[in-house]
Amino acid sequence: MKKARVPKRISTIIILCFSLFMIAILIIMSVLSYYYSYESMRERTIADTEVILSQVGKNIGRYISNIESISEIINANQDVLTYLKDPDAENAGLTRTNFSNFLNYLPQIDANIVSIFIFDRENRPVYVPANLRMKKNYDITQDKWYQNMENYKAGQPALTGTQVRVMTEKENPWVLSLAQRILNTATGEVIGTQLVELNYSVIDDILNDISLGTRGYIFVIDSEGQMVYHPQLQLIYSGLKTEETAQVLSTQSTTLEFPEQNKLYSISDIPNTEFKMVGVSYLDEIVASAREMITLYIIFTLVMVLAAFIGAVKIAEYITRPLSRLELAVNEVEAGNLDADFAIQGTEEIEKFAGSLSAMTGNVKQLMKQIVVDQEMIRTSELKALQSQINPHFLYNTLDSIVWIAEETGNEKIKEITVALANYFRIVLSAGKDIISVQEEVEHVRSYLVIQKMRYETLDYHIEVEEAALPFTMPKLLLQPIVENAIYHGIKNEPDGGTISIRGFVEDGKLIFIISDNGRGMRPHELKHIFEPRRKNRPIRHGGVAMHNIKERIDLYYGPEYGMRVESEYHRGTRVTITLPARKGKEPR
Amino acid sequence: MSRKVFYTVIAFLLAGIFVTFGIFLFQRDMTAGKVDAALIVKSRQSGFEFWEQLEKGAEEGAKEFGVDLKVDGALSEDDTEGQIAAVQRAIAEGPDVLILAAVDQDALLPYAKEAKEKGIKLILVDSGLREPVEDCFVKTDNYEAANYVGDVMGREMRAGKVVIVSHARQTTTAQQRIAGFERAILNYPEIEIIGVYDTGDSTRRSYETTAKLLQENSDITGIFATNQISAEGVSQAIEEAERSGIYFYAFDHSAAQNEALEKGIVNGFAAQNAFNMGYTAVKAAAEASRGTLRENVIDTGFTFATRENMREEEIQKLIYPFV
Repeated sequence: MKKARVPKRISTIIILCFSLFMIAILIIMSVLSYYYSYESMRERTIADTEVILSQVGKNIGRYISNIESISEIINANQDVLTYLKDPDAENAGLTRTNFSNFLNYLPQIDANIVSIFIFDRENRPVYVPANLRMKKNYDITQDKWYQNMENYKAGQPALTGTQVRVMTEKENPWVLSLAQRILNTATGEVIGTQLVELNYSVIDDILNDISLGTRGYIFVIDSEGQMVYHPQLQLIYSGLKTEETAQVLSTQSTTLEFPEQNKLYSISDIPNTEFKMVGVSYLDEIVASAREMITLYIIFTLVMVLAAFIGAVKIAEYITRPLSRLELAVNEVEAGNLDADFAIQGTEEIEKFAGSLSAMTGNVKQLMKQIVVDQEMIRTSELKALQSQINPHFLYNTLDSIVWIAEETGNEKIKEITVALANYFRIVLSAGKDIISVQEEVEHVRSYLVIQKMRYETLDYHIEVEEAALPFTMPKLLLQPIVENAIYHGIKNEPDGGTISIRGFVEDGKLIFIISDNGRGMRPHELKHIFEPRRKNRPIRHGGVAMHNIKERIDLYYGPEYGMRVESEYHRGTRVTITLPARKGKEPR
Repeated sequence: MSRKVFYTVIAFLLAGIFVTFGIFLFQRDMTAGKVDAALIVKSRQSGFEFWEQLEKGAEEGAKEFGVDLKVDGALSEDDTEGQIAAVQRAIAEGPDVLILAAVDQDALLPYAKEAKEKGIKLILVDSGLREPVEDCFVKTDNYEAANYVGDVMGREMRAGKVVIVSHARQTTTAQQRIAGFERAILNYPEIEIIGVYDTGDSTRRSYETTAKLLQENSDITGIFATNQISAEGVSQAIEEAERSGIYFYAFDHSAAQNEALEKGIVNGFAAQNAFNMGYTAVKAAAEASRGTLRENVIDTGFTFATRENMREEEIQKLIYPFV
């Protein structure tokens, strides 16, 4: 089974983690903020409403108890009592005028009173405000306030909710009324009825200006659920609006929620009355303010996410940038440049790490130099050992003898090859020197070619070296192995033989040799591997001083700006170009 | 992380911030958006309780639905020129919605069209226009209501001669009430409608016309008055003529008509819900402006009040306006 791909870059991991973390925070914040802001807004709305309701309730309660005390004053008025006890008394007319004046005067002291009515025990009007006229033969017992009053004990004030006053002509306002039986203080007998109407606008003033939220309002119902006050009473009456009055009456709790009507009721009693007051708040306002709050939260969170994201990217960059620079430097080292720059600015860990790497490459460089020196020493000593094994004088003397015998027997060929062989060895050995003149090197190659020509008759050669080039020096035995390769791999197996041409010249301070043949040439893949060192387990083929060695020697002596180039085409031939510095003297650098 | 991805993510986050901020502003706007509306009534004469109630209802609705309401109109229902001038003034101010109770279904039509062309939503209230150019019409189904009144009258009266005392006949309300009433009376072949009298928008003219009719025609036993103003004139004339046995049915309630009902001068009337009409018209105006208006006709209904049912609380709530 294939595992899910786990990102491997540090920056990707950091940013991914941050992003996931931030998204999680965003979601959690949104959910929590929605929940809490809704809840807290709701709580606050209820608490605010309760405060307002209790204030308003006190105001209304105070207003009603004011009216009640006025009602008490009327009840205690001696003129009223005297008249009602005996309306047919002699001076009844005078007493009536007296209390009429008093009652006419009352609304002037208290603007909260609209109108006062007094009826005798037969419910006939005894006092009616001066500006109103009772309808003829009006039966007050059918009025709501009267019926309500009968539910109370005689002498107790009965507050009746909103009703139309129908008993007067023309003026038929909607009023609240406080009705009460008038009793004979001595006997406790009912002698009349008083009705005090409350100024509706007072309650309206108290309640209409109260706003709960932007659209919330307060309404008041009586103990039967009849609407006493509502800011949109007309709409209630005409049925366009309804309130859940039945539920308000039946519930014990102080809040009711009606989600489908989008309303929240806060219920409280009005002191001194049996009225209930309900504050109505709109749930969607709470939701809307909660939503506004949530939007603000989300904006805030998004800003935080943005900041965190930029931060994450910057941190990731701060960590990974020196790492990638380190990677580059290490890559360079891998490619062979031990001078790669490890001076990297970054975190302490990375700087330390880079320092260690730098020290390590320095060591490697040192070691490599050491190896070169050691190798050179080994080779020189090997060569010296080889040279010391051959007694050159004995070899030369022997070769001289052969030449002499050849001359005597007239065998020119033997003489020629022997002379060449003597030359060849003289330069190979060359008294242990490593650096020889171009002239000597050219002589050496020529001797070699003379010998080989004896062996391969189809071989042909040209040597063409500028006069100016001859005095310069070069490492010995550079050209011969190339020529040898040309013969063994290029020409030897060609039926028609071939020509090797050697050109040497000086150009731009450089000594250039071109060894070309028209032999077999190489296939591209052969050419590709030409500089590879021979593998140990492969038998060394005849004539094999590998090209690799020549190149390495030039490198060692003169550095990488000099060297050799091999061009070859299959069946067309091979051309080797060697570039060396044009120098005189012994030491390479 | 490549630069491209980096900036893309930042762009997305910024976009997110801007979008949410936009939503935030939009949310605030939702609660703040006001609608400008002009209400052109038929009559602003004092004592015309129908229009007073309608204005009150409209103001109540304006408060509730976030409408800036300007009320204008001519002084009386037969002042077509005055109403046209009021409509022109309103159009010049460029409200979102025009609420119109047309005194003349033909004369006001070009101005209503002009308003519509200027992109002003048009709500008709109470009375309509010749062509259906309105977005919504809030009214009493006058034909139906008058038909009901006519039917009650027919059942009570059985036979006799009837006159119709109407208000300005160029308005659709008068036309439909007369038509509805006449249709109902057709079912009572013993009853004869002997005349329709246009008394304009004047209680005085209605009173004079009725008084004269009663004086000259002793055989008139039935009267139908088409609105409050005409009905009050008729009530006054009947009371003064001291003629008993006249079946008087009417449209609209008022303090005077309520007393007339109590006294038995008027046998019954169709009480329109003027407050509701004004309220509903403004509600429709707000909805039209906000694009949430669903209906194009809203019937606010009527209640038939008689001496017998007028003490019932439900009827009281309708015929005694809450001041």
